[in-house]
Amino acid sequence: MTKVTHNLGFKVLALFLVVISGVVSLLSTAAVLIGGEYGFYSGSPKPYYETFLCRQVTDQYADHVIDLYRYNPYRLESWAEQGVENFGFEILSSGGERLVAENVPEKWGRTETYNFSLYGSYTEKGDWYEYDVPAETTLQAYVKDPLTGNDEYWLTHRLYELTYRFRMVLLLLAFASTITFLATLIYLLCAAGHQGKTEEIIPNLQDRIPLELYFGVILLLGSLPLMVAGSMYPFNSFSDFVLMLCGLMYLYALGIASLMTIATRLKLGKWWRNTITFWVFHIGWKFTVGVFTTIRDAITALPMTWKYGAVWIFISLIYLANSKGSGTIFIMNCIILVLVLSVSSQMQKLKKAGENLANGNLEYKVDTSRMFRVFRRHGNNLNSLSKGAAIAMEQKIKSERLKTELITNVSHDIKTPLTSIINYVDLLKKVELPAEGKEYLEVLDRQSRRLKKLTEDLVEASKASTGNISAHLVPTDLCELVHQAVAEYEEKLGKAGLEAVITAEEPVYGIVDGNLTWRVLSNLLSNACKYSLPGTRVYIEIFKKGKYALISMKNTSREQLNIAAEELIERFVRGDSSRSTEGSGLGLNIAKSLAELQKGKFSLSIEGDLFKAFVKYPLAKEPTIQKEETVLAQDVKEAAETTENKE
Amino acid sequence: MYNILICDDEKDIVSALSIYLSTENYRIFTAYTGREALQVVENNDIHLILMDIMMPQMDGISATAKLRESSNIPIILLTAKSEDSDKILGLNIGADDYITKPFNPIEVMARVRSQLRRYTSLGGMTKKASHLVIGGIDLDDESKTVTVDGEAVSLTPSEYNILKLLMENPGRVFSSTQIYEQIWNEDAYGSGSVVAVHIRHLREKIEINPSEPRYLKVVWGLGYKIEKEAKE
Repeated sequence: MTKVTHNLGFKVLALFLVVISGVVSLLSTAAVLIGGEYGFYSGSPKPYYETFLCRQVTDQYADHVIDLYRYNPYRLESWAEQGVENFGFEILSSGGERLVAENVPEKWGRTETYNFSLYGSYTEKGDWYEYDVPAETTLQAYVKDPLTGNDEYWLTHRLYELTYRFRMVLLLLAFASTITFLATLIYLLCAAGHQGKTEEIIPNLQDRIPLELYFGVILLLGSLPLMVAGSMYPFNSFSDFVLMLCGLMYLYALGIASLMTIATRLKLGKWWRNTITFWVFHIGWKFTVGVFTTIRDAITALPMTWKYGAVWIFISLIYLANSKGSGTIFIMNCIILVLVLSVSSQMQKLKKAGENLANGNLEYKVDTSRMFRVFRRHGNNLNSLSKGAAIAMEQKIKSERLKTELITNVSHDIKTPLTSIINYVDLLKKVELPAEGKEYLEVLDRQSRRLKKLTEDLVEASKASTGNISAHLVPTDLCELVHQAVAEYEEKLGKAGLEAVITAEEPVYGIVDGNLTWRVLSNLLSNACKYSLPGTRVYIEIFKKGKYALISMKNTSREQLNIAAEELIERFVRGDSSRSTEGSGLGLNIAKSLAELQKGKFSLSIEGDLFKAFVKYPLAKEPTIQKEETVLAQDVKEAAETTENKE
Repeated sequence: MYNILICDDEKDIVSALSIYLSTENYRIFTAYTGREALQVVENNDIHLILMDIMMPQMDGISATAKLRESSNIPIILLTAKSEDSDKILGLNIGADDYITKPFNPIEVMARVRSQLRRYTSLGGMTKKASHLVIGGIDLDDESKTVTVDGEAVSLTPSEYNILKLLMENPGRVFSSTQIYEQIWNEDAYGSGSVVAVHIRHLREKIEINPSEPRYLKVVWGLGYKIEKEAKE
């Protein structure tokens, strides 16, 4: 189910509704306002003759009569007889003489006086005779009471009456349509830019048009019906009224559309980006920047010597122009130019040497012969610096290697006597001993085992931290790996009174070395077994986060952890200050080194008694692997089938 | 009564091992260099050799190579070197097993027993059709029994089926999902560590040292497999 604001059907419906309710609201509100003016709602409505409707029709007819009287006076009579029963008039000269009179009713509801000037008239032959002085003439118009016949008085009177009769309905309509209009408008503005199932704002076709262009087009489209209306004025017929209604709807639709696009643009943010002005400025800015960068790059690309040379020539040219051909200054400038060039070329050499050093190229040597004294000293310093750094580097590598070798050799040498100790301790257990002796033997046994573990861990730690272990990184399902590892530790966890809770919803593929990651997990799990509070749970979670696959492990410490998380990772540091429990204090250090060997990250955090370890590996793309796995599964099924067939 | 040669330059280790092995009723011969070991083998009827690698006057590797020229008696190497490359070298040169120092005497006993059984009693066994044999593991599908180095092992039905599946396809890696679906005939969704735990129990029954398995190996992050026989 898509949300209401995302439903296209709803939106189209709302668009119709908003346009229609808008027009209705406008018209009905106007009617209500005018009605109010005429006392519809105060109980005593004005009679029709006093309304603007009556006046408008009268004006219209009077205009027509004046026109006719001016140019076609002989058609006046026939016009008056053709169904304008309710309009009567007399035309009076300035002296009060009655020139024409038609339809003058016995009783009238309204009378109007129109003054106009006559500049001439047609003679009976049809020639134009112009008066010397314009004749001031008056038209007295009368509206019959009561109205009869089917002219526009009658029509507008009907309309007036109807409006009065339905004044309450109109009031209601005005309210309802206005509220509908506002509600649908708000809905549309909220829905603008929403589509489909996403919460994202998606611009549609009209939102992509640059803002200025859009409003230009809207203004043009909006002015069209106004122009049409202007050419049609005055409105005479019902069809004109319908046309006007259509025009109004059209304007409404345009208005709503532009409101919606404004809403969408505002929701999208950075609405100014989609304007021509912005484009112009943007392109202009890019262009300027581009030009400047090109010039700058061109200057930087020039060797230093040429740069100084060019500057110097430029300066001396200015001098030359100013000094009006003074020869000595020019020669001096030339000498200075040579000096400047030689200095800059030496500086160039030094700069190059510095760059080489900075990039780790310690073999690079500066040629310091043919240099000024100051520069030569600097060059020599650079040379000895590179030499020193190279030596230091070599020594460091050598000492690292020696350290690993030493630890490995020492541990080999320790192992042989340790074997004897362990074996003889074991033999001693089979000999009858006094109670005290057995106690001492117990200590010997425990400590010799610790020594064994320590030597093993020491070798591993030194190899892991110096990168003497090679990692074969392949996409591996960490969930499977964690399940395997926890299964290996099931018994030890059980003995420590711990329960492992693994949370992993789907396969998470990390780029890891399976063997090394097992050793990381093994170190963490054995840590949990040694230091956890019995009866608690160990939570292991495998999940994806961005471009990484993460394994997190949480356990509750038995002892209070008064130690910083970073410190715990360091060699020979253990959480229990008494050091009474087994363990070398190297486990976490090894885990960290091994994780880093696989381009992963290892981190710890402590919250009260909660001990949390995180291992982070780069995430592998899974689809290819999954495919392989399914192929593998098929293979297995086939293999199983064939073996069955054989049987 | 088997004759065992113990060869190490560390006299204490030799005598400790002698004590252990003589309690098991083996006759013990001792040597302190590779050269001495060769002499002892030449003059006596030796059934098994325990040999250190780092020794003066011919090391264990050279001695093993020399011995393999003429005889196929079981040789177990003892060494302080724990690198994988050392183990591979030792096994490639012809040693049958490998124990790193410091070792657990009980494990040494078990390995000695295992090697002797394979050398003496299993040597001439003919393979039957219903038997799956990999290394010292012998699975008889008719009587549904499994023996390791001639000693009967009692397995649960699930363990038996897993072992059979893996032995039918030696060297092939099965993910725990695949194993679950094959053995339990159910969708493996949410099976968690069930298979892993069974595998671990199985390993405890068929391996001498479960944390350094000879047959049933973990392929981390992928699954499990039974190693194809490298030797013979």
